[in-house]
Amino acid sequence: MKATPRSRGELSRRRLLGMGFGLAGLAAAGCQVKVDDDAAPRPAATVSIPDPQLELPDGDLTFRWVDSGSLKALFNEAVLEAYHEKHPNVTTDYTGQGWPTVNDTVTLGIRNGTAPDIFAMPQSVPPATAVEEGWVQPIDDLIPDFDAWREQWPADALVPGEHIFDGKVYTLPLGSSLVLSQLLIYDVAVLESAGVDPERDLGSWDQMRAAARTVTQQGGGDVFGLIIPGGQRIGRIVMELAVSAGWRSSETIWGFDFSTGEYAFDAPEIMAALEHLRAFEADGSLFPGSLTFKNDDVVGRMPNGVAGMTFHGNYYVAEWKQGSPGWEFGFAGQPPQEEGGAVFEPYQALGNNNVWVYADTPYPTIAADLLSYVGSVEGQTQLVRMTSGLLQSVIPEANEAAQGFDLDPHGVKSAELAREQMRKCPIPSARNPEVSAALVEAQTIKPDFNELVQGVFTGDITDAAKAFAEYNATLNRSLDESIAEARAKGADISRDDWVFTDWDPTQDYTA
Amino acid sequence: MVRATILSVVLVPICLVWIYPFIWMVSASLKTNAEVFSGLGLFTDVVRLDNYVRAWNEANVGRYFFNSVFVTVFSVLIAVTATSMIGYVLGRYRFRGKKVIIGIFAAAIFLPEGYTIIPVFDLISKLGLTGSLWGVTLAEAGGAHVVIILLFAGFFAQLPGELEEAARIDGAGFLRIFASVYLPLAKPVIATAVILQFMHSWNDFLLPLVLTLSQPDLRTLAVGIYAFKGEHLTDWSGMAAASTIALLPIILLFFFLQRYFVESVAGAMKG
Amino acid sequence: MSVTQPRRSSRDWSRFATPAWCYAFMLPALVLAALFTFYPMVMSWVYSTVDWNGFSSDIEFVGLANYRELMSDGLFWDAFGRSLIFVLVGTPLRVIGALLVAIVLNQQALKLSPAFRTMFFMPVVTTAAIVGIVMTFIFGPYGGPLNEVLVSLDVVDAPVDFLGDSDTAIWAVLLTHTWKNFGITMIYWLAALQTVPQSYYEAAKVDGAGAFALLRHITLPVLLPFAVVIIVLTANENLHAFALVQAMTAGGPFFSTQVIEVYIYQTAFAADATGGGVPRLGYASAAGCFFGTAALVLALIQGIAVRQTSRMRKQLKA
Repeated sequence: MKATPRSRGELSRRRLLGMGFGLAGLAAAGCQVKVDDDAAPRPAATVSIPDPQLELPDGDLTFRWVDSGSLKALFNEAVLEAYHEKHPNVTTDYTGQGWPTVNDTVTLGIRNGTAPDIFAMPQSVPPATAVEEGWVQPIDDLIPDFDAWREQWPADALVPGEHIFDGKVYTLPLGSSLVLSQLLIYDVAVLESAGVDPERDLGSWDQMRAAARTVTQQGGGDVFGLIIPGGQRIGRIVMELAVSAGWRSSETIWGFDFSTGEYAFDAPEIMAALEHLRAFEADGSLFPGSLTFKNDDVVGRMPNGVAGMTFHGNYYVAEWKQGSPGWEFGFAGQPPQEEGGAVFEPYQALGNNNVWVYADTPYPTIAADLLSYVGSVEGQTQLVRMTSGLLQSVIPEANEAAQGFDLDPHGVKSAELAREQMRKCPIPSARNPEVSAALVEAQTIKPDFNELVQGVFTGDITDAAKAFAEYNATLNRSLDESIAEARAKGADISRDDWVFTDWDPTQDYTA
Repeated sequence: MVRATILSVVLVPICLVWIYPFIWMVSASLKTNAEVFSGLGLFTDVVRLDNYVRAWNEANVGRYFFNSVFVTVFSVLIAVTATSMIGYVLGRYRFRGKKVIIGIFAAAIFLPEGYTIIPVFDLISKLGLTGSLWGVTLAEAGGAHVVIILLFAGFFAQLPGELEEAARIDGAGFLRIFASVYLPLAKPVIATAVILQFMHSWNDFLLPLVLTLSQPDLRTLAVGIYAFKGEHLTDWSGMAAASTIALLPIILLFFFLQRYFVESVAGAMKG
Repeated sequence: MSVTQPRRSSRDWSRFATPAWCYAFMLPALVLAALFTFYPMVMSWVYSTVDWNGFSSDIEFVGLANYRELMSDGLFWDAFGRSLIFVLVGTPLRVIGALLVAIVLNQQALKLSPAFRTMFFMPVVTTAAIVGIVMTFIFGPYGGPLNEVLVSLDVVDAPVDFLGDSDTAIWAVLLTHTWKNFGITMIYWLAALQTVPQSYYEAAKVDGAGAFALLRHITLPVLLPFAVVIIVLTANENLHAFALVQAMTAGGPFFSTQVIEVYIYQTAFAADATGGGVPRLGYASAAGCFFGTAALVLALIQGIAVRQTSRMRKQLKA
């Protein structure tokens, strides 16, 4: 998504610019010149901000919100725009330019007291550190009538060590983590012309591989079966494939098997997933260059009809619909390894997109006013609605209420698939909040799994099983070290806090 | 003359291949995102100026353009003044400690700059310049500028001493000799310095971004361009449009300044 | 610090020099350098001795431990080697190529010269992120023009994924980096060429000297002192290659294009997407400091060697 400086659609400038460039000779060159966006319109903003229950500052001021953007930007932009309309003295500035921007700007802003008023926690900063350093403030005292407000949330939605620290609520998840992060996305026309029926012919790993081969053969060198953003996600794709073969892992702690409390990158499912992906390459049905493509390369190429399928989350659905309205695509859940099998994706029901209030914000009442709206049933309903259901709320009532609106079929399907395939897995911090102390000590491990898989594909790593086993051993050792360091600093934790012997990945885990 | 014509005929295709990626960027600014990824072709059926509309409105190019001009003009002024002065004395005079200074600047080329964003950020905060265009300007003008200093020093060292003697007889002091005798002769180096510093100030990204955190209105164009880059998707055609808008001034500046220094130099060098 | 050997200047202006003015004239540049180059530099040395993630107040002094760890860090040494390739291969490529182009474009008869110069300069200012995208097409195995040329010339049988092959990726990135920054080196050379007085050429032409003789006996000798500076500056730029590499490959595939600045950046900032973990600013600073010092030492050795050879040559001539 983009950052949105407030001013939008200034018609005079728009016309002026169009005329200027039009006259510049482009029209004369015989091309059709378009000044207006012919992309599908964005969903109309339906956010209306309630009257404040707090006294707000009245001078002119700028309120800043920084997060990683993507789907939630559709909602956040609308909220902040509506807020500016409701309170004209409050200029709102939303920045959603991805994690690198969050990581740089928030940590530096904290250093000299200019951090955004509301922000997403940088990936490099464990939330427990931020709380301990006093960079963020609890919202219990900020939000008016907090207890009533919190009643709107399911009792187990906010978890100690994740959202609650020292008994105080610091953050709330703006979206549910009940979202599949790997779908099988396909080009309807490409599959059709190759005679592949997505309902019938993508029922297992082998079927999908055969379908990719068919598409490639029919494509005559112009169209390929599968395209992937290998430069950014190849390790992730292998892990997700492994999950579809029954690998015990969750996407919050990849490769961690809660039933044993050990990492499982040496499991057979991982090797099977790797071999499966390599098979596409061996068949020649992997789009050339896939190994180093970034997300953008794939997302931009797909609507050109050059590939049959790709693996990715639902993040791009809104952009595709808006930017390439003529392109017809569909998606399914990942096929199971064997035909007729079921895919279960474990996830930690912690929610996503946590927002934090900067401790030194000059406008705590505005932050409170905004959060009490976005965290209300009404606000969350609008979140689901504005993202066409591609994002779901942690609050079930909000998801239900949003059904009443005309949601995009892709959004409905994405939510259905998630409910069908995803199962809650254990949350160590829900049992012992102190485990977050170990995360503070965690060391980065290089090469990471993505790099290892890439190394296998480039041929730099010849013995994948050995490399994965070593990586696994390093992860296990590193967790032990982190635990030891946290214990030395007084945390009451042990490796047992990560063991849930009764975990069954095919069932929702209930403590 | 014939040779020059043949040379031009040879150079034209080479240059066109050379700048193909640039031309492609301009063409990308007239396409949709999906068309951007359709390959290296330049032309599409529909020329989409809406990218420019989006660049102007969403990347706030109008406002940021002004900021970039402010930061660039003043940082160029500061940097060129400071470097021409030090270059002048290093090139023309001998004094105690000169070699140490030259050695320190030479070493500055190689010592790592890797992790300097945090100290620079802290410095601007301590100077109380966060959230002001002056803070960004100063940070952009700052640095060792080894290249420019060397160019000035080398240039001034070659100028004849008679000019100074003559001016001295006319009663000119140190400052006036520098400002009205030697500096005007240094136009070629000044032009080079302006181009280098302009490029740096105009294109720098991280520093203006972090220094204007609290004042989004003060962002520069280079920061605005990256506003099109997102977590999961980048608006490449909007980015290309904003880049094109941002790059035109540099290219024009280069085109005119280089011609200026090329044509005016020879005379100044003769004496 | 200074390694300049005592050398008497043939022209001595010092009799008019007022030391006070000299120091006053250096002040602005020294202040700018001290604040924005030397202070941050000193701080990065300080950071290199601590274990610190760059944001928390938990800073632990570890002495030389970061450096010790660095010595056995294979990824660091690989990145070190790649940066040396950038310097050793990229520098001559760019310096010689830019000199040839600058000499051609310096001809006054060439009326279109300003336009050509501008075109050679344009890649310098083209946004790195966009260059990254274009290059995936140009080097790409799917209809990439480079592959089409190579296949039609029978140099290769099938298209090569230049950016996806860990043996070729670094060369593709190095070429792109050379192309993109070519214009800067060209400006340096053009500026240097301005110092060759046009009257020399005219005089030589009157004497009937050919183009090659002009080049050899007039242009090159005048350029020689500049050559050292230009080589150093270009080498330095290659040493610090970052933005383009990050935009093109981000160091991949499998580290094969991870030059030192990319290594430092990824160690200092980027969080690991799979395993979690906090960044290591102290360790990254140590890598930067060690590499910078090593580069300085290499440059000094090289400088001394060049000086020795030229002195020996002079003695031989005498």
